[in-house]
Amino acid sequence: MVQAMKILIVDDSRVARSNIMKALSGLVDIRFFEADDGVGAWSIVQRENPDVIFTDWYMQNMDGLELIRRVRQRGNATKICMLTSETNNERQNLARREGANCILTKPIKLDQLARALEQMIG
Amino acid sequence: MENTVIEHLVKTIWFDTTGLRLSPTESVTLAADSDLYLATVVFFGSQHGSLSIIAGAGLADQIASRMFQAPLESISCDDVHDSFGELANVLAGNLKSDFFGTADLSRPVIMEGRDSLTGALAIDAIFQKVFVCENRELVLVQVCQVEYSL
Repeated sequence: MVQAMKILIVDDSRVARSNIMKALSGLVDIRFFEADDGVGAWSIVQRENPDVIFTDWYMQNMDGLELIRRVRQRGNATKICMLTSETNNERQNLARREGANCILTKPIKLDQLARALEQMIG
Repeated sequence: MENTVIEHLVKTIWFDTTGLRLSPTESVTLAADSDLYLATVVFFGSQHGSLSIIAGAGLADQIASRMFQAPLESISCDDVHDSFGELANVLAGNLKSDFFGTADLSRPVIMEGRDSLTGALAIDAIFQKVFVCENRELVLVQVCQVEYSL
């Protein structure tokens, strides 16, 4: 039996998380996990070992950049897409260097999320 | 960045996020008969500042309904705070580079009321514009720079 893909959505905004899940639902068999900050996300990563993470950058307690660093210390298997309103190239390159597989700039069109997922999982 | 370019950016981001159209206006009277919502995101780095948006409660409800893709009657106060804050966050992130370079963004702070918020209109801003949203409600978008001297 093929297991559902585990996707973790990390954003401090409920509406952002909700819209990301709506956009990705139905593309493949997905089991969603949600967190509103990096601390909650890190706990889920350790417990569930998600296949893909979509994370916001600026959040309380632990931001998306620190979450990427921690996930990458575990290895490169988890694909990570950063979803952020940050448009500064220098900052976006920093996220890439830390291990983000892709970066989407908010506001994000729903088909961009689907394309990003397809590209990351091949 | 020229004000016309900022205006265009604000209108584009607003529409892409909420599906609602903004048009610039010279009026400065915000929804006189209802409470106002204010969402502020602070920039902190080598330069400090903030972005604020102010809108009437009716429009804030409508924004939440659009962003959650849910009927207006099902929208809660928490939904309004969440969506209005996310809208401010998206605007702030997109405008940040041109005003504040690599500065970090705070989480959005949301305030609701009327008398306590009218003072925001008097702040000396580096960008301030009033828009009409869908030909009905007025929206104020404001970017301020803050100088700290310790």
